[in-house]
Amino acid sequence: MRKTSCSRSAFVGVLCTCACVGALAQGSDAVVVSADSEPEVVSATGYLPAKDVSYTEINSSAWEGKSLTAADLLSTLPGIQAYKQGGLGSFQSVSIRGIAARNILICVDGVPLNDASGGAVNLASIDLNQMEKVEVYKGNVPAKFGVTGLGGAVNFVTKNAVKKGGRVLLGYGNHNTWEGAFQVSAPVTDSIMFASSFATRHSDNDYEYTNRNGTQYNDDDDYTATRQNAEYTDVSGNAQFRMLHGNGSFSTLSVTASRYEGGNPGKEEQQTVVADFVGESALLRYGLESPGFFDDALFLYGGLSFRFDKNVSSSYYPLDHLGYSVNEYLEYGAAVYKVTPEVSAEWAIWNRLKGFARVAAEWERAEERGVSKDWALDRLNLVGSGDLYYQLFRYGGLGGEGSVHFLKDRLDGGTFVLPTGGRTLESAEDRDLTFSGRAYARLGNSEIPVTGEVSMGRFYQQPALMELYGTFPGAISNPNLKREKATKFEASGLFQVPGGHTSLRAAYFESHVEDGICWLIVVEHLHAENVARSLVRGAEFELKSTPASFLDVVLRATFQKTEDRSNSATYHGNVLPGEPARSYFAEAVLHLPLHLDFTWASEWRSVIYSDRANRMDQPAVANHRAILSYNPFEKTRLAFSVDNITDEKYRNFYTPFPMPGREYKFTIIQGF
Amino acid sequence: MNKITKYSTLLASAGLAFGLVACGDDSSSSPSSAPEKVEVSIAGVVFGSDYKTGELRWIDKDGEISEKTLSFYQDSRVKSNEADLYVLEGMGADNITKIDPDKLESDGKKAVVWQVSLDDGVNPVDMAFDGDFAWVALQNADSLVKISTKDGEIKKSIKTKKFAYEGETSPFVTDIELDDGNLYVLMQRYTQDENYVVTYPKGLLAIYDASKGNLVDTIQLKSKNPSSIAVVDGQVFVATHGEYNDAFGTDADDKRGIEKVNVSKKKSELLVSGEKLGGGVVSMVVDDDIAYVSINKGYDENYAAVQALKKVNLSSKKVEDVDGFTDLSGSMAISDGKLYVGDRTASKVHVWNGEKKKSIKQPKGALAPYSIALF
Repeated sequence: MRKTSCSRSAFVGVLCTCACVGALAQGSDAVVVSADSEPEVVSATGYLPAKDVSYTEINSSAWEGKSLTAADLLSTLPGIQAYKQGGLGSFQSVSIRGIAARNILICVDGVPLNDASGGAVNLASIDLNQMEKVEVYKGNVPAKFGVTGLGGAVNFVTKNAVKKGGRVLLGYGNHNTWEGAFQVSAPVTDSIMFASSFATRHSDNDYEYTNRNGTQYNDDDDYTATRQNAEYTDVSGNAQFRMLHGNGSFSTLSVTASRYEGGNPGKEEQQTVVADFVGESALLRYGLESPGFFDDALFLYGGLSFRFDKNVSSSYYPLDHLGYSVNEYLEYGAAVYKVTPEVSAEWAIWNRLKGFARVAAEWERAEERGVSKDWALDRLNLVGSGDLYYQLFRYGGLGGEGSVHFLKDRLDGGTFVLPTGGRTLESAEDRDLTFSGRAYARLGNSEIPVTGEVSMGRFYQQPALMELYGTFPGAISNPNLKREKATKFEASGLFQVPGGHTSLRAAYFESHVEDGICWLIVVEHLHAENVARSLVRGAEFELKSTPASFLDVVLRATFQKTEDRSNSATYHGNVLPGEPARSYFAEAVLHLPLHLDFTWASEWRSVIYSDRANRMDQPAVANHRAILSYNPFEKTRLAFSVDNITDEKYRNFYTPFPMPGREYKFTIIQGF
Repeated sequence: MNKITKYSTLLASAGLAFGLVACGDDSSSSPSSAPEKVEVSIAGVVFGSDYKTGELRWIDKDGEISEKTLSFYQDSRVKSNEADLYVLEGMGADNITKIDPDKLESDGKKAVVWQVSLDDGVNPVDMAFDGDFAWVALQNADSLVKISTKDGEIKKSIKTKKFAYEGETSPFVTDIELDDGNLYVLMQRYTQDENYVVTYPKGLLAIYDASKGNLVDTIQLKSKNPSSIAVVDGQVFVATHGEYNDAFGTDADDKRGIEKVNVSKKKSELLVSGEKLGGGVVSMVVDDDIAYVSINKGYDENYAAVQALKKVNLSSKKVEDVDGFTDLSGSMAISDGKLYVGDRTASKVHVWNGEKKKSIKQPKGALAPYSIALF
């Protein structure tokens, strides 16, 4: 059965509207409506100085003109590892401090992208050209996002209606990779600011690679092949109105829509012909920010968001050889609707006590798309979260952050267990109320160069709907899945060298994960089980320095030991998949004469394994990137980048997703 | 966000391991046209898999499993012709590899004599040896192929599409045996819809002239979903699994069991019913007129396989329980009266000598047994 809840034409309409209204708005008289009057000090490397030691904020100068995807960008930070399956548009995810990607909360403008399937969010379809900044919370999910989940959180913040201006970006690279983006932000009236953006990307991904023909022990049949059916295109847009009301409050109304489409090229020796995937999403969001009450001791916020996502993949076995040999054209997928009302308050009753509280409800509905039998799953989440900090003395204080999470699932038709038709579930299992929280001690203040934080917390993550009641072909349900649990300890510190040119950040992290969910094959089907138990210990370091006016330097390092502590005799003691023991990143930006900047970035990681058994090793690898940019005018920038200079393409024989190798890109950015 | 890539990956993973029925026999009676039995320096091999990755280990003469491994695709089966070892990499890899078993310990991957790639998705599952040649059962293809064991080159193929059931392109061959110039081809003949709901007609046995590849005869079986075939002194026995019940197990009834095929009369009769065996047969190995069969009882609350091992006298039809075996999903093989059983739940290989069960010593971290071959 096929349903179309969000048609292509509607998307195009929204996108065009965004762009056209934006262009019209640009012509209005300029009165900047902004709540952000504090000038930001941004280093040339694009990373804002950290206020909270566990928090990093990345702005657009860190990625523009640099051939970086969202996963590439995040993995330049210490403690973050990226996984990629190919070129532009291929599956990408990140883990943070040894916590698997599926446990990392990924948000756009604070709205979670993690959905009913429970898997890792695919970062590939996030177009950084739409983003103003990226907020990275490595320690835990902060109170403003609910403190739900085991890992950290990443929040992509779209271009907003705060500052007047705009820009156009055009880029072109090898494999016919191109991108275009347009943003404008301008006042509509004295009290309304408008911002709009439109962005699109494409790649043929037709790179050459060595096809080993699936025969590990026969080199004679290897040959050079060209990646096929790997084209990828996405288009996205957003529009935002920000209104100042008479009572001093602000309203923000935003609409975001995106569509992406690509071939699913398969593995190196089994390239596909017609297999593809299509995704559509839309987000409508309204937020109301109060003015400060009681001499700015209290701020209130209320918001309502509606999100829609639809993902469908299709294949035809006789041509594609994906999955089992059903000789029909198959389409599988799901649509997910989410409605999230929330209210929050931030207060500082007196100088010593600060707090934040949020109550949010989320109704989520997942439905079948494609040829699956009809099914629908509903989930209602109620989350209360908060953060309270008390400054004990001049140089330190204590805080706590926590949440209570109630959820109720409902099965709305369908067979949810075995494909033989048996064990049909009539109703969903009741879930326990979940409490998560951490306590922290913070040292330092803005007057001294040292800040630090020590924290310890216990976190829970409820299984996703599709993990409990898996409905896609080849999967069976496990309604008895337990919550995943993690106990985490972290200690971090930041030292700002007097003079303000150099800062050093270091962190120690330790996580004990229990009842982690893994997809296993049982009864000849996929099945989620609470089998994972792991221990992660590690340390990360970052040095940022501007030793001279013409040089900015960033050095980062991660050392970690990850260990599978499950009861499995096969896996116990092994390294966790995708986690290296060491990784390093170094970047230098040289500000040259004639308005030229030269950036060199190198990163290296030690061996990783793609599987729990540690059989699929991916050897240590270095990646080098160079960018030469020219700024002939104040708002004009031209950049030429070369990524993966040494053309590293290694892939384990049993994880044969060919990589594009060396990539070139030319980008022009014109601001206005 | 895009979960499609993930779905596809998961689907592919599931599909590749998707046997639907029993895995066919793993080592039935000694191959009739195999080379002369030669002294091989190892007792056998165990292929282990966690459905993500696969490894070949070997059993030395002292009965211990090797520390060293050779990696292969996660869905692979091992076959021996009593002189050489063959690895059949299943759907998704679709290769055949010949290995010199005597060089495994000393030379590692250099023990590979040749490796050939078959067409995508053909899913090789069984071999029957005929001197310098071998017939290969391709479960998901519309043909069988005859290869040279010298270099793996395909010498002949037999089209089987006409036996495919209702719109399928393959009759799903699950097991082949070669005896007295005849190639016995066991076909499951099922069809499944886009929601993986499977429909089975009665199974089919096709007999071909092994040298020319001509069809000699076809015989419809008494029951559905056959899993294994054995030819003993010219008598043909077929084990059938039958349809699954709601617990993904099988019922103890007369809709499955061990059939005896009367080739001259083109008739197959139930020799030992599923009622007597306690369910449908996942796999069968035969040593003279003694058959060991694994019975599918279903799965427990943790989805671990619940199976039973039965010893069946094919002459007297007597059925005996062999206690102590609850998971035989890691395949069975028999040689010199010793039955090797792969227990995936315990991740061990057990040996039954007719009286006692003993587990083979294996290195820490070995993957759960998936296929066993003996020399």
